[in-house]
Amino acid sequence: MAVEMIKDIENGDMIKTAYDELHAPDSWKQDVILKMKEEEKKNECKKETTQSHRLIRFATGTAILCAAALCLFLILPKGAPITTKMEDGIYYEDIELKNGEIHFVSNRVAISISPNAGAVFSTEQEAEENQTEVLLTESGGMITFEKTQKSKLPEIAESNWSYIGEQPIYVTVLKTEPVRYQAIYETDGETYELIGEGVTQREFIDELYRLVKK
Amino acid sequence: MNSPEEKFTIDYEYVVEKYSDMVYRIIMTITGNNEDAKDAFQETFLRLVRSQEKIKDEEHLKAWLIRVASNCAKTIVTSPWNKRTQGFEENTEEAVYTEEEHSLLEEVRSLSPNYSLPIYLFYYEEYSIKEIAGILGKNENTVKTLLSRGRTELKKRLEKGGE
Repeated sequence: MAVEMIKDIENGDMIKTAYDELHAPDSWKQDVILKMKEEEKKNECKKETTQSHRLIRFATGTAILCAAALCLFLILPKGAPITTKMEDGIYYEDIELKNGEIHFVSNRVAISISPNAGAVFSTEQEAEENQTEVLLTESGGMITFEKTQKSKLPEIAESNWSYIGEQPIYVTVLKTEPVRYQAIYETDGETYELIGEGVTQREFIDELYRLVKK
Repeated sequence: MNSPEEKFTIDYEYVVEKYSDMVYRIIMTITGNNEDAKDAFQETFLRLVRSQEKIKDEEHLKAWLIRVASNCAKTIVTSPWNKRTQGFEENTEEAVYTEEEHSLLEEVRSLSPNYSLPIYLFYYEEYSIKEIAGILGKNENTVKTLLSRGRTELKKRLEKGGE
């Protein structure tokens, strides 16, 4: 018997015949199909859970980003400017602000704050000597422009001057509510003072730039 | 199941009906008893459910099942909790063997899986040596050697048994 089997092994017939008789029991097949279906349900649940976790993480992330953006939008314009280095050509190529710094409030350019901020210089003048113009801005604020022959400039270090082109200007921002901007400069023996109240920094610097360049 | 251009999806009834015997034979070749074989059998098909997205086509499915079935069976056999208390004679509730066939299956099973699996794939599934090498992740020459040694070992055992 063994000899015949050994011969059959060479061509595999015996092996084939032996394995042919080996079948998976039907009960196993039915059982495994049921288990496969259960497993698929479990997988789907896992996938759904993973997806909902991802969605929750995404929503949380988005909410945090939105809250951060809202904080930036609400807080920064109210007087917490970010100080950064001035980049050429943002709004005015020839504005040189003190120490080369410029303040960005939201996406607007603002003038830098003098170390003497908080003190608005005396504007006591004799009425007949003064020439005053008042400008109402789009944001509902008011810019007052005054020309006088009396010097109002404080004695401050040159490093605290701001410049528009070659014109030195002393600029302060008083952090009141609303914020009050003051710019003083002298040219041709005349003193010019610009005060902005309730205006945006952009409006103030636009007007200042227009006057200096006039 | 589906046309080749469509994404390959798996119908469980179809897969089990078509491949359960093959999976069973591979597992029985390695484990040799129904208790362990049942665990490996279920584990193989459950792994298929978890990995079905990786299966590309029918051919890939068959090769995947062979590899996973043999791995599952080997894992169970080498497991420290393995309780191999049954022999082939207790697993034959539905099979009708001649004495020779039974004896041959016992001898194939008693070989190392390194030999028995290539023998099964070569003689029964009629895979070429190259295909077996691909499925088992071995070199073709290695498969040739394993087949040759397996046959020699099987002959020796049958000769002994026939004496």
